[in-house]
Amino acid sequence: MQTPCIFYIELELEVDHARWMQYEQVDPLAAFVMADGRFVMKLREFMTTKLESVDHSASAYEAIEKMVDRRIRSLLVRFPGSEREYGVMTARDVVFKVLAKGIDPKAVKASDVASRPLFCVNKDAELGEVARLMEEANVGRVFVCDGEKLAGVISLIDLMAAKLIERARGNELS
Amino acid sequence: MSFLRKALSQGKQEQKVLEKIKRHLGLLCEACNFFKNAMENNSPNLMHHVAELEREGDAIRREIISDVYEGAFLPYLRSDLCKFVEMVDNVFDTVKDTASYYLDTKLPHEIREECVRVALLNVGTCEMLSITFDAMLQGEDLHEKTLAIRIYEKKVDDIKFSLFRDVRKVPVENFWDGRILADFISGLTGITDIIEDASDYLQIISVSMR
Repeated sequence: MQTPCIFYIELELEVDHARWMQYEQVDPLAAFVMADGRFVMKLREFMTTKLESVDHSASAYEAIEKMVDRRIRSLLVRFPGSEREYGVMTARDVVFKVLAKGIDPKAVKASDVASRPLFCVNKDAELGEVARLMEEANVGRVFVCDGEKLAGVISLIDLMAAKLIERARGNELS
Repeated sequence: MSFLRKALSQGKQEQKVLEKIKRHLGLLCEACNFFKNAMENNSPNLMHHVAELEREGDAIRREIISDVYEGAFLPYLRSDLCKFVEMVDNVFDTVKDTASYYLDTKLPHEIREECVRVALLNVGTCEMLSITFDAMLQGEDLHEKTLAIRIYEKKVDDIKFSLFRDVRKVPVENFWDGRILADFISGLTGITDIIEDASDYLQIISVSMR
């Protein structure tokens, strides 16, 4: 078993809180305007907050059933310990590690199929950083952390949607 | 200069109307922002402000329609612009009604976070509509802007299904409590639908002018 090691990015961002708190003349764009004037989308707008999970001792079949019923492409796998100790089981894992090899999913545990560690970013991370992490790690989703707690997950589709909106606003990031 | 830009930019009367439409859209964004802040901070005072903005929006809408039919723009443009303004007014009415439902119900903690997320997405969608209108005035292609609005609407739809699934597990004391809660969720998640229709209409106006 791999020694758990969380790859984690923390980015400090400055938000113009003074403008944000002036309720009398609220500038709706103020919340998303960076100190340097760029408009950036926040992860919390596009991440999925409903995180489904299975216990590490559950069979891969039970995990697959849950993914089919909930119409989701990934599932957290809970290992003993903190939330940072979780693994993730994706449709890709199911297909390439189990089904395509002719292995009976009822005979395999979720812990044997799950990928670890989770790739996490801080909830205040910029989308550009998330995209770079996904590309470097070659993963299709990144989990969003609020301190020690898992706050959500952002996938490639979510990232694409967020980037299209930034582009429509005329603020493409480098 | 594109025909649309030319058609919309002539004359002081026309400029006055366009400024008022921009102001109308700006007020809508403000209202949605107040709504979101009120939910985040659980502040009834902020939520009451939404109704005030809606009344102000109504006043501007009446001025716009009056100015248009007093002679601004060529006749074939007038109905399109007025229809767009009425659609924006529909969004305003929905925001105001949803604010009223919020004040009349106790939002279960199980769905609060998701509701705040929808409110945040509504703010983004409103801003996008305002940006789309500005782009139309500049004669720009609107495809990317309307796509962005559809993305927002789809995201809200995803959350809506999850909201209705979760709220069914929440006990209510009587029919009317349940009804008001359901109306609140329907209103909150329906705002992006109306904005999407309004943005589609801007696209129609833009295409018809070419």
